[in-house]
Amino acid sequence: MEIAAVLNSLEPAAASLNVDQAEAQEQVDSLLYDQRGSDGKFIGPAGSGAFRVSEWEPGKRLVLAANEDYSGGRAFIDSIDIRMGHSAADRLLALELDKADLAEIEPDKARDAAEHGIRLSVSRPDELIALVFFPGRSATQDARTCEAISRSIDRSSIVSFILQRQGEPAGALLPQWSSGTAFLFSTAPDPITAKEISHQISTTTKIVVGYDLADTLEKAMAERIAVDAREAGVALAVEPVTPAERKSGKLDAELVRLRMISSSPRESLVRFVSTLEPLTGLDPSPVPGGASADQLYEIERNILSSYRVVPLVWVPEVYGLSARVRNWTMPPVGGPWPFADVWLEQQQQ
Amino acid sequence: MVFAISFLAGTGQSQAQIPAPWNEALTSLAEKIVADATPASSLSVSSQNMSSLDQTTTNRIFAELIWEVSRRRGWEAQQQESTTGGPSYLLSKNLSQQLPADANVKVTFSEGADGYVWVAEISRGESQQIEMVSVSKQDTAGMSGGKPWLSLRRNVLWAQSQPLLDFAEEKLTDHPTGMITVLEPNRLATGNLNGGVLTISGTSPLTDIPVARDLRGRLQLSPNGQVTAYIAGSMCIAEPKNASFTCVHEPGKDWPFADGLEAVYVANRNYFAGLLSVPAEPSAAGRPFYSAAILNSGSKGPLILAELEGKSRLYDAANGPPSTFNGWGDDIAFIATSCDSSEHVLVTGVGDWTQPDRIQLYEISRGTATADGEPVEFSGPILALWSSDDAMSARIVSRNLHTGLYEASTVSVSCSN
Amino acid sequence: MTFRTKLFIIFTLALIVSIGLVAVGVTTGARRAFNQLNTLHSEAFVAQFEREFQRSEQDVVHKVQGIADAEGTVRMAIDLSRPQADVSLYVNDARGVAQSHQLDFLDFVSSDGSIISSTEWPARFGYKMTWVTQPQNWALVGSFLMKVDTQNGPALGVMAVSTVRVGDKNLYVVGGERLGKDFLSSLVLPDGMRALLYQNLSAQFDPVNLIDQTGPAFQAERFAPFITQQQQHPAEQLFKISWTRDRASGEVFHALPLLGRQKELLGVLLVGSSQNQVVTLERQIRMLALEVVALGLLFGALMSWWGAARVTEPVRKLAEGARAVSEGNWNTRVDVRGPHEIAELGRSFNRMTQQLAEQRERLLQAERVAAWREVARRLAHELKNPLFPLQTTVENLQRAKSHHPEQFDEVFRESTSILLSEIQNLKDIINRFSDFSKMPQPELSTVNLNDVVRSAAKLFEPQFGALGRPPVTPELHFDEQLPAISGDAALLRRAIENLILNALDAMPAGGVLMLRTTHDDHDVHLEVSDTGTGLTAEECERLFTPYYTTKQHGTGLGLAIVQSIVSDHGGRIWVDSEPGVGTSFHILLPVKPSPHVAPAPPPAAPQPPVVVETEKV
Repeated sequence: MEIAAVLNSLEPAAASLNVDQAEAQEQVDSLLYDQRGSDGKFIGPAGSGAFRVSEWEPGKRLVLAANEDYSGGRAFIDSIDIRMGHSAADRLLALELDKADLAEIEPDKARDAAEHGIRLSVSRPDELIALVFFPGRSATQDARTCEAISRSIDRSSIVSFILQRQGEPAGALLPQWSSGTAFLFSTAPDPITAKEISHQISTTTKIVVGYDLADTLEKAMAERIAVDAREAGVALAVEPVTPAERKSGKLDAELVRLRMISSSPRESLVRFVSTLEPLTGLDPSPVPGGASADQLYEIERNILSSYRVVPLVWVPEVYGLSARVRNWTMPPVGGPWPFADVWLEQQQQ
Repeated sequence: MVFAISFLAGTGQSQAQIPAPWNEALTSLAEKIVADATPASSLSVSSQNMSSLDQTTTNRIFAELIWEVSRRRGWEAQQQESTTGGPSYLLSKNLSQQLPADANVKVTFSEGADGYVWVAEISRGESQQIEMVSVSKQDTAGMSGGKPWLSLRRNVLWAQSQPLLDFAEEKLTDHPTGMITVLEPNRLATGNLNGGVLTISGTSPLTDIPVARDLRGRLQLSPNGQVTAYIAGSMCIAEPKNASFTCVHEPGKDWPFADGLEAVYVANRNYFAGLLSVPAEPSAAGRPFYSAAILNSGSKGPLILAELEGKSRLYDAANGPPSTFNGWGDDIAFIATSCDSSEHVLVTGVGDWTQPDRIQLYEISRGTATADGEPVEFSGPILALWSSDDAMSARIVSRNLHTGLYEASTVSVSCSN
Repeated sequence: MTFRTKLFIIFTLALIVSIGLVAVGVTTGARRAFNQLNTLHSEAFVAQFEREFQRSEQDVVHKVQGIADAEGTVRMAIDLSRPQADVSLYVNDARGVAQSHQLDFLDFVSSDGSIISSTEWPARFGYKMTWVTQPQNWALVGSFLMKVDTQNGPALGVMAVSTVRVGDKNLYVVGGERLGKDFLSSLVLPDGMRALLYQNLSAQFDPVNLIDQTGPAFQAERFAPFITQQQQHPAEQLFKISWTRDRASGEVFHALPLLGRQKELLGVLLVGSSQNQVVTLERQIRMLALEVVALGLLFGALMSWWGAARVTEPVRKLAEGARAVSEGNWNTRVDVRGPHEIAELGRSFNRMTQQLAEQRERLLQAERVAAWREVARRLAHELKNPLFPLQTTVENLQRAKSHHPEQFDEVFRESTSILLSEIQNLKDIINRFSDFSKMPQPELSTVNLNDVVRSAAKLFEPQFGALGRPPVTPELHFDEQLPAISGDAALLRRAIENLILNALDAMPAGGVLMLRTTHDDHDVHLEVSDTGTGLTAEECERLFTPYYTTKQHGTGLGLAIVQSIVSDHGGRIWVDSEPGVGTSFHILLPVKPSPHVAPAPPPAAPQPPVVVETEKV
């Protein structure tokens, strides 16, 4: 989700955001609506929340204005200007040029942003980047191929160098802070075993791994995975794909991002399973309601034992804030933006 | 059972209780561990803390777990060197046989969004099993809320170029007067300490002191100001005010320890031949040691001896056979805290005279010793460590490897929540 | 082969050989000159390459050192020398630095050989580049050629290493420029030459690795054997590739191996010189030579024709004249005109034939006279013999009539008997002469000569062992496969009888008489040999002359009759003899009937001369 916010408490005060339309809908709705029903869906008229829609250019811009009559109290800021579809570099640049008050920053750029004096708000790691192997591909028909690749990956180097320490190596589907059992899944590379396995495999076909064309982080990770796999004796090629090309069938695997919808390990796991099932063809056992830690652990272990899903890293959400943004708190996992409580400090003329 | 009784009967201090749900979880985990480890005859159990619980809390929980597991199999427990950040124990039917562990258990105190998760990874040969219990977070208030945070505070009094064996501060109603009595290998000196500088006002030579490679000495101040110096096998008594003293050369003179315990000092060596009589801990009597820490519970209480083979042993008959602590230095001393009712000892490091040393505070509980707080680092070896008379602090003589000076310090425990 | 043809061939050969030698010489010289020129060009280009390479090396060393000396690098080294230094801070630094210094490859490598940041393969951070940390003074090593692993595969690079030392920690700066088609493009090549670079990036030859100034080389697989040879034994080498069947498409390559630090083969520089020019020149020379040869052939043909005509025609006419003379046309004259020698030759020939004709005429006349003399002598001799007894007898009659009339009747009777006998002798003699003069023509039929010889020999059997005569041993050797001949058996028998008779006459003391028949494809051969007194050479020459005889008796017609019979059968007779040894008569008769050979016609009137127009040669 892309966010860059310009909050202007003067005339008219507007907070501008750059945001991807699809992902932002939930967030925007949380600003527009006051209540959710028991089914989790928002109820009541739009604009009954802290903000109402002021301008709307589909796919480009959404301006929300403060609801004067909001039962929870009028928001401190007058409006939020949400701009959509800007690249990560543009969002960062907007922050540096003071053309945005809030921008979502890629984790690997967070350190650079901090060195440039940008204030950062970093969440707990709540998004998993995983390598997912598609079913029915001849190159990965042998599950040992996937295992060799998985064992060859140096996650800590990816976290250190690519993510610039903004993230954690991931061995499990759920992060440690959520499940408490992620530490039981090894994240250390095992290149020796990976080599032994690759020697047993007779295939010489190059495995094609796709990544999002617009995602430089995925590109860097995919290239690094290719290097690690190559050291283990597995030939791997990386290819950028657009969303339309994702289902073209030319890929053997792809980097996938799975964002947690809540801090509850069960809810997130259910969401992950439903996302991964069509991609991998796996049919894991359903996640029971009220599942205990060991039950969730067993489900994770079963999913990961086939090596069709290879967790790589957990990355946090990182927001860059301009100097005048005040009282910004990191929203909880899956929670709404706290724009109603944010105010802008007036700059000295 | 023995552990449990002593715990419930109390030892004179009130310890934070482990909440019942936690006890249930611990019990469940211990049962699982025992079941998975069977038929191993010895077990190495280590711990690490990945939760928001403080180390002391997790150490306490871990100690409970060790007790539960030991109780079920009738094993003895011996603390061993740990590589996981938390304490580690060897459990065995007969520790004296020093058999290697048949199975390894790694206990991780973890935490998720829904609560704590305590995980035990049991490895036996090539197989590994994982057991875990979930604990809700609401039950932790009684456990972790009241534990004070202990830290060591060092106060360097002065430094001098002549070798220093011990020193004593004259106190008046528990406040130092600034008068210092210094025991050196060849003399006894008195002086005034002001601003980190000791100005010697009077000296008395010591003669006929036996030659020892590692000469040790100790000063005792009586309430009337009389200074008694124990050096090698001699005892000298001095009156600071009149700067005169009388040395009584009594080979084999016993050095006094707390609570009337005495030990014979071997004159040409630097260790004690053994405590003469320890009614409460008969097994400790006669065992040679370098230093001793008599825990605050008095002569009937447990004591720790830093014994000659490089191990320290806790003699606490009420809590079972002696516990062995590895990785401790030769100098230990009991120290009391004003905020924590637990028993604590100060322990030096295991280096030699060419290496920097450290002082670490340990909490002794249920036959286990748990490091409490951060250690205090020294710039050179610690040459002497003695508890103060009121045990609220300890005197330390060390040598600074950079300057070559002998430093006189005191160490006390400060409390914070 | 006529003289004209020979002359033409000789002339043409001389022309071809001389022109060919010239053409070969010119071609060889031209080719050598071209090859030398190409060699010079190649060497010059190689020198240029080496200069550019050195310049590039120095440039790389300078740039890498500049990077190492830069403040940012030093700060990085200081930062990384601290304990617990965060290497990840610098993971992206290499790319920007490389771009600003125009380097294709740049790696920052830590003290333990771990890659901190890499331009050519950014994802390789953390992996080891252990060769950098091997103890050596990189400042002394300077630059070197190296195989560089990049994200897109291995590449060749001119590399250098600089070390930034902080405390006991080193930061290595490894940088370089790609050695590829851009480098080749910077080189200046003369016309007809091109440069290729094979990047030895794999153990086996890979056509993709052979590049020229524009990229992958065309038909690179043709270089496979030469590159493979370089991989096994790197050394400067010359080789040639013909791109098509046309030799002009050939190209000579000068291969220069490019070695790395460990003397391993990393690349091969190929300088190609097109053979088009030299082959085209060769062809032009050759074509010119062929044209000259063709012209020469034409000229030679004309010259030889003219020369031959001047020489061979008169010679031919002379030869024709000689042939006519050999055929008996003694009055042949040739009319040879032209050069002095040839004309003189013709005149000489005419004089010779005239003289021959005159001499033959005189010879014939002399022979006729000699033969008539011989015939007269023989006739006189023969006739004298019977005439003497005739005369004596008549004289006896006269005497008896006159002196002894009483005995006249007896004498008359004896004398008349003698007269009749001698008259008969005279008749015989006259009959023989008459027979010889009118020898009959043979009546031809199929004859087996062996039978004729046997019957003739049988006739004389009584004489072989006659009493009072030394024995004559007959030896008969008949060829049983003797083919039949066409002849008159009676005449042939007569001839054989004459020969046998002569042989017996030649062996008064006895001896061996051998009769042998043999044959070949064309003829049947009869040999009649004796071991008699033999004949001299002069006797052999005159043996077949009528009335010539070596015997005291006989008319001398026997052998002439034999010769006549043999001649009438189309055969030939000759004699071999050695005085004191013996004599052999050989008769050769044709197997197939031979046409009746007419006697030589009388000399005809002189034929008109053959006119030969020649010029003075």
